[in-house]
Parts: sequence; structure tokens; C-alpha cells
Amino acid sequence: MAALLEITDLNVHFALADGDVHAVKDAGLSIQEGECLGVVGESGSGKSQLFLAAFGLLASNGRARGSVKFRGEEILGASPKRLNALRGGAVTMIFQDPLTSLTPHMKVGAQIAEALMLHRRVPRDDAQSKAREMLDYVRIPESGRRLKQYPHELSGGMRQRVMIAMATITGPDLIVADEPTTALDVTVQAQILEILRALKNEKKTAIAMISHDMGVIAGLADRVQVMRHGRIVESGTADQVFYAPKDGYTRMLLDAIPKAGEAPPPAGPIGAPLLNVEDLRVSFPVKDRIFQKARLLRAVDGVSFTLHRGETLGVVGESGCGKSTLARAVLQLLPKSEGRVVWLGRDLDAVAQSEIRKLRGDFQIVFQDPLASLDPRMPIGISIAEPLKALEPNLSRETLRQKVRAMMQRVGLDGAWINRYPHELSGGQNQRVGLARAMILGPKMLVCDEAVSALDVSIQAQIVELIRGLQAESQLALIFISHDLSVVRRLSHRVMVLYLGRVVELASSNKLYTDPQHPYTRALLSAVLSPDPRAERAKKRELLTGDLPSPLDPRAQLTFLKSRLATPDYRPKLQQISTDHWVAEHD
Amino acid sequence: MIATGQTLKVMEEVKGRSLWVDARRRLVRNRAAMAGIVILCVIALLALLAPMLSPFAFDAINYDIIACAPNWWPGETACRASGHIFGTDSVGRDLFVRVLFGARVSLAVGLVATLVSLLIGVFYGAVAGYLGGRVDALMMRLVDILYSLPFVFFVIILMVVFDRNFILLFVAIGAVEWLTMARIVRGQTLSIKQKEFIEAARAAGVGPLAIIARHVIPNVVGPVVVYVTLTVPGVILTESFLSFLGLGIQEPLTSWGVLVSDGAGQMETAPWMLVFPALFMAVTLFCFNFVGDGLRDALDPKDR
Repeated sequence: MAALLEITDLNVHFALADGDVHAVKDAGLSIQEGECLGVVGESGSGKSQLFLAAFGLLASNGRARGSVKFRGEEILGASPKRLNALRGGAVTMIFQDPLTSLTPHMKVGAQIAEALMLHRRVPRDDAQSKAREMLDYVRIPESGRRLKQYPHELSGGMRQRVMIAMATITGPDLIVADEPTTALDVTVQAQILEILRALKNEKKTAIAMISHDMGVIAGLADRVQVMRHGRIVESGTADQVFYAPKDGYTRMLLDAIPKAGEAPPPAGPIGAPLLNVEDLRVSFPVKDRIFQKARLLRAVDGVSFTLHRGETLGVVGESGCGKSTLARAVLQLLPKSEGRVVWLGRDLDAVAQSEIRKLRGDFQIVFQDPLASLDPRMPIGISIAEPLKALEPNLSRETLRQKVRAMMQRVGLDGAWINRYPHELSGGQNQRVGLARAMILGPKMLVCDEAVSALDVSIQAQIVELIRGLQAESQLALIFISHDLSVVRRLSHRVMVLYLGRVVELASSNKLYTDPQHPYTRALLSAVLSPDPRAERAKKRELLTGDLPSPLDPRAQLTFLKSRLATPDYRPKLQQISTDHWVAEHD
Repeated sequence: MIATGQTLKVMEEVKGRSLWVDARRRLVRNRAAMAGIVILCVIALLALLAPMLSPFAFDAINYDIIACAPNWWPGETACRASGHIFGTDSVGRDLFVRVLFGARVSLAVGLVATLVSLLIGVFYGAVAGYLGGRVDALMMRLVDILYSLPFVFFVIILMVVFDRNFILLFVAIGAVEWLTMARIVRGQTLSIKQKEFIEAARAAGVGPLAIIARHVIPNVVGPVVVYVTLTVPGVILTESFLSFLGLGIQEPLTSWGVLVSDGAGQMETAPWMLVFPALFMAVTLFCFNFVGDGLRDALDPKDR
């Protein structure tokens, strides 16, 4: 049987101002009917360009050579008309960012129906009812209402499901999914992968799954190809690639993924209490309409914890659970509504604003987006020196430069780069700059707000290693915030799970991962992917259905305590079940 | 030799640079901008040295040679021998000297008023936008009130209260021009304020004023420079409008605006009276635009 898609010797070149870039080198692959091919590689490996080139979607400065056969028909260099008929019909695509791939001013229903009306010449009414069926199929609740909404009214996971609905409505033979879950929470990622799996099994649709994350590929792909620097370095069945990788690069990618059974590291001794947070609350007034009375959105709703010297507290939860707000309130970057933050025995409420500025040397933060958190118009050397300049204005230029140099060396940056601008560095390098800036004052506490979430898996591992090293050197206390439980495990002594601004479980890392008590924690844990195809395929997931409820809904807090719904103001209480294990009440 | 050259280069690179040093380097490499700067300097120098460059005084009236063509003009002309290289105006004054004296006023008004509006507007807008909330509302309402004052009426009141005065012209124009600048900068600041690097600076312990100076203002430079290059011609034209109403520069002093508007009236009989001042003005504005573009590119590190 001939392959559905057969790519041979594909080369892609880009003509840039400073020369020609050879983005894809002699790549070849084939996808059979109803098969899922996983294409893995880090950013810049050319994996996306390979498929864009195959379907004539290269940027205008790109050229492709080679052969691409779809059902035996040569489509590389085919007429735009033929390609248009193919794309959206027999071949559809799902991209990483669902917000930018949906037209903002068109209702969701109309957008889904459009593809059907265009490619299958279905009348409008039929198309609409088919669109509704598709929304049901991708498990969007209240599909009738959703059809009439605009993309910005939907959550990220919901939008990605709409994209999948659009991609499947014409009954394509092949879906190209380019990092479809990278921008999503782990729980939502698991839901999306579940839908893709159903597509493959029920509708026999072939899927080309492009991702930098071996874990995402593991449960879905029949065959896997690994790309590096535009070349395919390894290909084989999923089991071959995952269990017996031949190429060193593949092994490196696999090793970079935190394993399920990996024990947490003892990173130096734990000392005296440093930070005490008591019943912290942060709420924002929200108004839907002008004359409406403002309602309170409780982003952080009564969180207490203690952090010791040299200790790492992992904070886990989905987007919107208030973990970033918590960090900012603790760091005095946001005003809190109630509660106390005690730093080394001093209640920070009693400290004047100018005094707090001086204290900032003691608690620093590293942000999620390495590029956005650096001033684009500042050479990185100046960015790193900034905290020093702000808090110790009397330092001489020479000492300043020496300190910056030493810090850059410590975080693994070449000292000769002090004059580079952030856009001249890679994401991982920029995150090192962010770390250097946070560490230059020798803080006692460092907050990492999703500090590695935007990075490729292999870079993630390096940065985590670096943070661990810094901690061991100076008994640094860490608050490590992430939606990714496996990364948190690598670093944390204790882990706190947040749900809608409240703690649902707080336990030592070991206990939380081996003996999770709260259903929400269990759902988060079961959503974690491991690079183990057999386990992934066999895994029964405790999936949360639908989206995170709105934090404005007072009953949302009782999602896991339905028996108390009669008293909607009730808040689940934390109960201690063993020496270092607290769990919120649940049914 | 090569080895030392390389070490020198490395040393140079390792020495810390700032945005401004880099910007100067990039500006110097921009040919159009450098040509613009050179031409502007030449015009400014000519204006300063005007009395030494010509035997004629700018206010010397000579009724014998009214509206005389330049001495190299084709066709018959009465003052072939007189040495008026740009010809004379309708009362026989030498146009060359008058264009250069006009340059003094026009360049001074254009630069000073724009600079004033730049300084006040950028700082005011950045502070309002960065502090936000009530301070912002209050500061921007003040701008709205000033905006709503009729400009000519405002100038007349100034003239009545303080007597007619060259400085007043700067004040009047500057007082109006900074309002738009403040609005533009405030709008930009509002969006920059949301960026993570501002939060990073706050977390690093940098104070609000330092954040405005070091992070906000350098990042609003793009739109500000574009607006400045539009302001300079605008101010020069405003000045000629005021002079036309009798509120600006008074005879025998002159400016490009006045010369152009006089020349426009004589366009058919004595085209040189329009051509020379207009040519100087156009070249100057062109140069400002090139310099502005060059500055904008130079201050954007992503553009190499």
C-alpha cells in the first residue's frame, strides 16, 4: 500500500540578509493511512518548517527542493489552487497558539462551519449543525452557546479544542499538529491528547505530531522521528526510539525528561524559618458592566505557609489558580487585601515602602518569559547590574563590572557577552541572565515563577541544575512555581497544590507524589506525561472534565466538596493527616 | 599585528557599553542621517555667520532695485552687476541675507520649541502613565483643559500681558506642542508599564523615577522621534502663521515662513522670492526627517 504522505530528500533554504540558512537538510519521512508519526526536536530544529514546506506554506523568503507525494501525487510546487483545495480539506493543521490562529472577529460556529462550506460545499444550516456536532465531539460543554461566542471568550484549552474541531470537520486524511499542547496546562494537555487519540482510533485519521516534548509523543505516536539542526537523526517505531535509542541526541532528549520515580534531591541542610505567610488574601474588584457593583475576584484566598533557609517549596496549580499572584503579594509587588507576611520576624506591613525597597536585595524573583523580563534596549550586563546599582549606588564602576562578570560566569554566561542585547541570545541564555540579575545581590530567598516553563525540555534540565547548584552554595530558600509537577519534583522539599487561590494539599515532596490524597492532586499527577509509550498507552487517567470554574463563582471552591454545596460560603479546611501532610476537606 | 588588533577588539567589547553609546555608533554608520546632520550644521553655520558672508545688511532698503532677479538669472535683469545672488525683495533688500537671517529665527523657534515640548511632554506623559490612577487622571485633565484653549486667543493674551517679545513666541508654541507629546508618551507608557521587565526592575528594588528614566523613556523613543520630526516643520509653519497675523516676528526681522508667504504673493512676477526660502526650508525639513529616522533606528537595538 502506498503511503499517505511520502516526503523524500526535502531541503529548505531561507534567504536572509546575512546569508542563506539551510533549515531542513535531506529530510525524508512517510506516513501511512491512520498512523500517528511523532516528530521531535528542539526549537530551531526545522521540524515545523519541514511540514510548512511540504504543504506550500513557507515564508516568502523560503525555497524548498525535493519531493512530497500525497497519495502518490506530487504536491511540492503544485499550483496554489490545488494546494488550497488540499489544505483544509484532506490535510488540516493545528498550531501552537490557538488565539492567534482563530480570527478574532468571527464567531466560533461560523469559523468551524466555514471550512466545511468551502471544501465540501455544504449548505450553511447543515454546516452549522455539523459544527455543533464537532464541538460535542471535542467535548466542549454547552456547545450550542459556545457556537455563538467569540474566540477571546473561550479559555486556551477550549480554543485549542475549537481548532481541533475545525481541523476535523472536513474529515481529513491527515492532521498536522504543530506543538498543539505546548501553551496549555498539564491537565488541559491531557484532555487534548485524549481527543487526538480518539480521532486516530475512531476516525482513522493519520496524525503528524510535532513537539519538543518526548512525553507528549509517547502515548500517541506509532513511529517517531527525531530532528536536530534540520536533519533527521533517528527514526523508528515508538518502542524502538524510546526503549532503545541509537542516537546520542535522542538519549539526551530522553534523559532531560524528569522520570516518574526520581527521588527529590537533598540540596543542603534546612535552617531556621525565613518567611512566614499567614492567611494571605489578595482580591481584585471586577466589573462586567459600568454601573454594576464591583464583585471581588479572590485570586489568593487565605494561604499560609512557612519557608525555611535552604528549603524549596514547590507551588503547583493550573493557570488562574493564583500562584503568580501569591508570589507577587509575598514579594510586595502587589498590595494584599488581608493577612500577614513576616520576613525574618518582621511584619512587612509595619515596614515603610522605602525600607522595603532596601529589603528587596533579600528576596528576588525570576520570571517565566526570559525575553519579556529583560529590557530590550539594555545590554544584558547593565540589566544584571541594575539591582546592585539600585541598592548600592556607591559602588565604583570597576567593582560593579567585576561583580557582574563573576555572576555571569557563575550562571554559565560568557563574560564577553555583557554588551549583547536580549534578542541576540537564546531563551535559555536569557533565563540565565534573569537568574544572574536575581542572584547578584546574594538574596536569601528566590521565587521562580514558571521560570523554566517556556524553555525546551533539555534547556529546562540545565536551568534546574543551575538553580539547584546556586541553592546548595548559599542556603538559598526557593519558592518554585510551576504547572508542571515533574519539574517541581526535581527541586522541592515540600509541595503546595493550589486550587482557585486556596491550598488543597501541602506535603513533603515524597508523600505528595507517592501518596496524594486530594482528588485534584491526583488528577494533576495523572496528567503528567512520561516518556514511556507502553505505560502511556495503558494509563487510565483521572481526567478533570471541562475547564477550571470561574473564581468569581462562590460555589467553585466546593467542586471537590459537593456535600457542602448547601452552604456556598463554606471553605474547605486544611486537615493534618500526618506530620508533614495537610489535605483540604473533600468528598 | 593582527593578534594585537584582536585583543584590542576583545578588550573593547568587554568594556561595558550602554544604549546611548551603541546608539551613537549606529547613528554614525547611517549615511542618510549623517548627511542630514552635516547639511543642518552647514545651514546653521551660514545663519550664524550671515553678516560676514554678504556685503548687504538684512534691513537695507534700496528702492532702485525692487524685486530684482538674481544676478545669474537668465534673461534681462536690472541688477546683473549688483551682486545680489538670490535677487532682492519687493523693497529692494538682499534676499540672500534675508534667507539666512530667516534661518536664525526659524531654526531657533523650531528647535527650541520642539526641545521644550520634548522635555516637558516626555517627562509629563511618562510620569502620568507610569503612576496611573488618580495622578494620571488629574494630570491628563490638565492637558485636556490646555488643549481646549483657543491657540490664537492664548497668544494674543500673552502678547497683551507681557508685551510683544521674541521669547514669548517660544513660550506660546512650546506651551501648545508639548500637550500632544505628553498624550503620545502616556499612551505608550501605559502599554510598556504592563511589560514584565518593568516588574523585574521593581522587584530588583529600582525606584519609580529611575524606572521611568531607565526603562520607560528609552522604550518610548520610537514614536517620540517620529513625532518630533513632524513637530519641527509644524512649529516652523506655526511661527509663520503667527507672523502673518502680526503676532510673531516683526519687520525688518524675518523668518522662512514670512519669506515664503511674501514670495507666494509674487510667484508669477518674481519666482526667486519664493524659490530660495522654500528651498532652504524644504532641505532643512528633509534633513530633520532623515536625522529622525536615523535616531529611531539607532535607538532600537534589534535593528542592526
